Amino acid sequence: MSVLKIRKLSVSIGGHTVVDSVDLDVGRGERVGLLGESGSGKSLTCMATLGLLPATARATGSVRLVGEEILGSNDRRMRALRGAELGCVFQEPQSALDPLARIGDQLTSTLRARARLSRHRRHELAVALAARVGLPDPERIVRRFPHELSGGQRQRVVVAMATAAAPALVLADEPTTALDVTVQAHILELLGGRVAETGAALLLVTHDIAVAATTCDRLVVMRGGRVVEQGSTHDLLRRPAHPYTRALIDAAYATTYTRPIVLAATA
Amino acid sequence: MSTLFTVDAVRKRYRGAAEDALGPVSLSVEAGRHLAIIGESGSGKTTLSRIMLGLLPPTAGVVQYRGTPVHDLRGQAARDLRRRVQLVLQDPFASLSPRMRVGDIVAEPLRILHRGVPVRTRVAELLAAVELDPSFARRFPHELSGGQRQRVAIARALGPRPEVLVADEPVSALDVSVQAQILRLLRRLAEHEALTLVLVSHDLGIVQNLCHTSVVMHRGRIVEFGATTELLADPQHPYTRELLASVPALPQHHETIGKIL
Repeated sequence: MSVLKIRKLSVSIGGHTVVDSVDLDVGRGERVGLLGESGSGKSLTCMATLGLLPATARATGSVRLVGEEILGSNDRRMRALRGAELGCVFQEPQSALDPLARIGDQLTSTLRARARLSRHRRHELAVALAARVGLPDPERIVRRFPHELSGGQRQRVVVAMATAAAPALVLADEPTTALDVTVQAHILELLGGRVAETGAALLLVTHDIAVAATTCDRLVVMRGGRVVEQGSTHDLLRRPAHPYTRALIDAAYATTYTRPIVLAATA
Repeated sequence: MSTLFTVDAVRKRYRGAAEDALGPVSLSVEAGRHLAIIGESGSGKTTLSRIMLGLLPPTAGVVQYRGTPVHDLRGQAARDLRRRVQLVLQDPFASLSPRMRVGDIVAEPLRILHRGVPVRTRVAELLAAVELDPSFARRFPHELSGGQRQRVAIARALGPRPEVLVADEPVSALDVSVQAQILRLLRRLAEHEALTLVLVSHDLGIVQNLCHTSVVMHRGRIVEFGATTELLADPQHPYTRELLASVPALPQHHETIGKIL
């Protein structure tokens, strides 16, 4: 069964269609990369799934999360789903975190939404989560505030929050774009690891083909609000069918680091 | 082959800082070569490039351009350096004046640094060199796409016929298909104008596609230096290895494989 099933999703803002009849499926435990350049509609598709479209946007079609129609759901229902069934990781951990709340309180926020927890239990859970996502000195870091952490550490906190309640789907919108490349590698590894541990599916929204290719089983390419092509990562990179996908991949190869292959000595 | 830049034991400590942001760092830039300064945030790559341009005084050490120290130049000598060494920045929306038309933006350094050239024809020539229609001269920066703005920034930099183009993350703000176009343009122009390129970037893909030689910076120091192909194929320093291993690389392109085998 699909954890996410989008059918004929269209979004218009001020009379302009920005997402145009998009169909998209994410299976249980599957990792899907939603690829596109600026203006492709990838982020708005993601926002529609989160129930976070701007108030001026009009959306039609259907977005089902574990069978439940969420397009047009009220805010209270969406708040309950986010965290529980839907974890999210955004580009800027600085703005995703509450600057006035301690790391420990934020780490357990998605859990507290579902169960009453004693102070002691909350602290225990927070320390365990911090350790789980590789934050240094968990006992102390849970008492710190976001501004005292590095960008990579903040994104670890966000990944921990997104996966704490073992949601069915984690939505990550450019989760590593603001980070240095050595930090990016660690966060992608962490995100992939947490998703695998909790059994969640992953929808990774990105402009970076190499990031999507190293993380996802399947890729969906969007352009001008439409899905132009989708397929397994391997097939899509090797045999792109749509001219735009081909151009995008060629451009990526012209600008992305390709690891030199070491040919075994024949002598 | 002549040496353009000589950087000798340059250090920089910003006011109030407890540690050096840079150095000591030494390197040289040979005429006609394309040098990449690779580093992540805080590595000192931008500080080094600003000191080379004479825009920031070093705390210690000397930068020479063709044998002349760059940081105490005044008057005509300073203007001459500004003409010979031009800069292209990451975000053309921030670096182009929003109130000036493209034609004036491109003409400005010509009027200041290169008096005596027929400005209007040279502007048209420059726009053609970066593959923009002459009609773009009448437009304002906000009317252009990111890629078009970066073309304007490059045209402006090429105007005074510089010897060196310093490009600080010139394509990082652009979509990947536009990145590929700007890279092609930079490569073609560098060859056509016999330009020396100094590319400041965190992006190994861009470096691999543009530069012969590279220095890798980490915590203010140069940790590795060498021919780009060798440095990427056989990194020696642990940091370079970590950096290379971190980059999400694409699988070998079918065409590339065909070429190698």
